[in-house]
Amino acid sequence: MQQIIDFIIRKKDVVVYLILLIFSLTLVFNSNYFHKSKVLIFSNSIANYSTENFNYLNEYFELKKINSSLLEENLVLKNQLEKINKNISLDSLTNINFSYKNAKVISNNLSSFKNRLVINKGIKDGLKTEMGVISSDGIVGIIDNTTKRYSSIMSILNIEMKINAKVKRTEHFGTLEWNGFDTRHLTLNDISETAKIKVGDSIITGGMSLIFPEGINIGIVSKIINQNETHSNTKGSAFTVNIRDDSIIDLDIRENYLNIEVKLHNDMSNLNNVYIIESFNKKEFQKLKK
Amino acid sequence: MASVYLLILKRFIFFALLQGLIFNNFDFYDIYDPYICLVFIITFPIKVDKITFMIISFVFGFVLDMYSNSLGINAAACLSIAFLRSYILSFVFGSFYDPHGIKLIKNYVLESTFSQKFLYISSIIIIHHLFIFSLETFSFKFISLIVYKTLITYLISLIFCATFIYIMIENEK
Repeated sequence: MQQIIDFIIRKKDVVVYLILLIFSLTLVFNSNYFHKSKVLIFSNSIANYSTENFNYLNEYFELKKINSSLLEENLVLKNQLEKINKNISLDSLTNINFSYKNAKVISNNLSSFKNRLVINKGIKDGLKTEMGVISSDGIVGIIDNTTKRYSSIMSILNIEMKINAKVKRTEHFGTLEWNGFDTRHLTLNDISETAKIKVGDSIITGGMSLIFPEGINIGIVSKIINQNETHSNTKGSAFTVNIRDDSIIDLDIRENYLNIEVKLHNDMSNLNNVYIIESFNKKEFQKLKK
Repeated sequence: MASVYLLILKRFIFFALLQGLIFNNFDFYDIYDPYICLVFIITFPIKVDKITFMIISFVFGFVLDMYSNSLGINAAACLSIAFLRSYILSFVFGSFYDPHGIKLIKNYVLESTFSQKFLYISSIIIIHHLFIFSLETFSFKFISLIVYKTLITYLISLIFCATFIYIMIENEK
């Protein structure tokens, strides 16, 4: 017993190090799994308060840019309204599925692998987790944590993010993911090789989940990578083995997917005003899914 | 001793705010931010005993976490380099390093060769960055990304940290 105590006293910095390390690592992993961890809520609200005040200064320099982007958006919306006005036969009151709220970005970080944004609205303004966030050009992310006055958004530039999207022209569905580096491009996976997709096709949200309404612009196809082409040399030899071994056939089938690089419409490094989408049918939809 | 803690407190607030409010939004090529906050740990007085040093670094990392909307990642990285710093110092400076802290960090920087300074700052920056990026992703799938990003962020951080340390020492003269 004496020896153990002696050992601990001799190695006390290692013991302190290990205790603190374990503490910080539990914080890291808890914050990934339990979205509403108390520590995060406490710490975020202090930091956000100072960032918000500091941002007032920054905003003045960008007023011109913000103004012109708002004008552009206004123009697009006016044109859309003009088109819709002509065939307004539906009763719009009973058919609302989504409503929009606006918010301002307080902090926006692109340097990590799991990027988050913070906006200046929270529970007080009726925001909840798992609401979609878009900007005037395209999608931005999904709310993953709300405090009384602020909410943090899991950006689309986050390696854990998976968004259901489809090709507008051919209606093929796939999953959008980020590769961790390029902030202007995402990859669209799980689209089969048979789909005739061209460079320049537009990609829109799929509407499979009720987070985003169907048909919000995301970007355009900028490059198509066929995974099979890289394996084409080995394909002949693999085929002869296929006859004997079933597992290799599975492997070949899985490779028949396209990797599509999508160029984003919106510039994630320069976001000021965003819109939050609230879905009214979400509870009903989730009940059905269970 | 009290004046040492006052100096630490001043630097703590200064570097936490500098990193959180300005250098986190630096965005070199969109995704690389310099970690200027490492100057706080590189120039931390050696006189202060190791356990206090580790606890202060842990709290410092925690404050940085608040600003980058992560939790525990910066704290773990800052804690680890605080723990490893005495080993790095004795490895790099050899017999010149005294663990009781009679010499100041200023002496280490002024009275050593260029390669020693370079090795000391570089090893701290690289260990810190590797720790942060691997904790963020936490999977072997991204191992090439982690190494690549560590190297580029290391170069930017090195330039900024070296400039900052140079300015601090010039001011003290």
